[in-house]
Amino acid sequence: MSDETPKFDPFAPWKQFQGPMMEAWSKAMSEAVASDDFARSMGETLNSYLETSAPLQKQFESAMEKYLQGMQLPTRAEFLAFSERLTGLEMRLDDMEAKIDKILSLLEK
Amino acid sequence: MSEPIPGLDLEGAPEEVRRAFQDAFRTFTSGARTLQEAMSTPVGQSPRELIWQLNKTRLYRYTPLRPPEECHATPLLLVYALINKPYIFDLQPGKSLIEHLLAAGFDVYLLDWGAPGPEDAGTTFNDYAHIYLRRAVRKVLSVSGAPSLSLLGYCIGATIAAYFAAAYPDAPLRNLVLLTPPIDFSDKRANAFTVWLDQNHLDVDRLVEAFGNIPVELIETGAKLLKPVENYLGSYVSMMERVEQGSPVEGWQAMHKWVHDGVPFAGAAFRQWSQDYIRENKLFEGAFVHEGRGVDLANITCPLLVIIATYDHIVPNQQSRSILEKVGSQDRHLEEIAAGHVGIVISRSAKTRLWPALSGWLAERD
Repeated sequence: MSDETPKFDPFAPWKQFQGPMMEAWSKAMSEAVASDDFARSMGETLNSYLETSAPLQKQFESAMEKYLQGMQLPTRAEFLAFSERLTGLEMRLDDMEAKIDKILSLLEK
Repeated sequence: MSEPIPGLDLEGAPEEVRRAFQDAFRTFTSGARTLQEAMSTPVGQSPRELIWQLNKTRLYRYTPLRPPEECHATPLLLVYALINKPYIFDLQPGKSLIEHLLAAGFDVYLLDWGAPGPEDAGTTFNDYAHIYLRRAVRKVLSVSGAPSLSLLGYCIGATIAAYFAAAYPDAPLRNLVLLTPPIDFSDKRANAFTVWLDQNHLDVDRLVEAFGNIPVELIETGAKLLKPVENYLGSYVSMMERVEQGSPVEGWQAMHKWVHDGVPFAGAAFRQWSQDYIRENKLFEGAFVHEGRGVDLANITCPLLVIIATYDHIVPNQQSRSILEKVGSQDRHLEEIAAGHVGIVISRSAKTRLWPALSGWLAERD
C-alpha cells in the first residue's frame, strides 16, 4: 500500500457506481428469484437436465455392475448394503453399551 | 518504485497514474491471495474431546474453562443444521458462542451430523432425531452424570430439536432453545425457498432418485441465490475493500470457508423436509405420528426460548414465532436480535445481545 492516497484511481468510476447501485440490484434480484416465474424456470431446467442425464447414468451403472460382477468384484450396491449393515450393527452395539452402563450404575447404587 | 504489471505497459505514463495502477494491482493480488488462503483458515479451535460416534455422527465435549464448582449443573447440547458444518458455533477465537458458553461456566457438548455418504441416502429427516439425537442425549447424560440437559438447536437443527422434544415428551429436557427455527410453513410465499420447493415447480422425487443425496453444489447455489447480489458480488467487494484499507481479513476468510464448506443433504431427509415439513407443514400441524403417538408441539413443556433474527432471509421470522402459541411450556420467551441468519451467532450484536441473553436465560434455569 502506498502511504499517500493516489489522486488518480482507475477504479473510481466502478466504486462510485457499485455503492448506490448494489442495494437496488440486491432488492430487484431477491424479488426476481422469489417469483413463480423464476421457480418454474429453475424447476424446468433441473427436470430437463435430469431427464437427459438419468438414462445415461442408469446405462453406465448397469454396465459397470455387469463388469464388476464379471470380474468377481463387489458392486456399488453390495458395498452400500454392507455399509448399511455396519451402521445397523453400530446402533445395536450402542444400545447394548447404554444398557450395560445402566446396569453398572444400578449395581453401584 | 515501479513494479511491472503483467499485460499493462505504463512506460511513459504520469507518475500519478503509474502509482494508482500499481496500488490497484497490489490490492488485486492481495485479494486473490486472501481468497486462495480462505479455505485453509483455522476454525473451530476450542479444545474438545470426541466422546461418542455413530455412523457419521460425532459427539464432542468441550474442555471446561471454569473449575467444576463454578460450573452450571445442567449440560448443554448444541445441534446444528444438516447442510453446513457446526463450527459456526466456534468460528474463531473471539467469534465463538462456544467460547462464551465455556467462559460462562457451561458444560458444552456439540453434535456434528457429519456428511452423509451414498449409504445414508435412505436416512429420513426424522431419523436424525430418532436414531442419532436420542442416543446423543443419552450419552451426554451418561458422561455428565446429570439427570437432564438443555438442548439448543440452530436453524434446521432447531427443527430437529423441536421434533425430538415433541416426539419424546419424557425426554430429560431441562430447557429448550430454538435459534432461528424453521417450524411453521403455513405461509407458502415466506421466502424463495418455499416458492422453489412448491410441488408445481420442483419434482423432489426425481431429484432424489437421480442424485441419491442432494449434492453440496446444488444446496450452495440455492442458498446463494436467495441473495444473489450480496453472495456473488457484495461479499467479494467487501473483501477487496478490507484488503485495500488494510483491515483484518481473517474473519471474512473464516466465513467464506464456512459458506463454501457444506455437506450433502441425505436424499430421504431432503424428500421428507420438502414434502412433510415445507409442503404439508406436518410438524406445526401435529400431523406426524411416531410409535403410535402423535408428535404434537404441545408435548413440549420444558422452559422454551425462541430466538429470531430480525433480518433473517433464510428463515423468515413468521416461520419461527408461531411455535410459541403451540407449545405446552408455561415458561416461554421470544428474543429478537437485530441481525441476520448467520450474523446472529457471530456478529458484534451476537456478542452484545445474543450470547449474554442466552447464557443468562440458561443460567437462571440451571
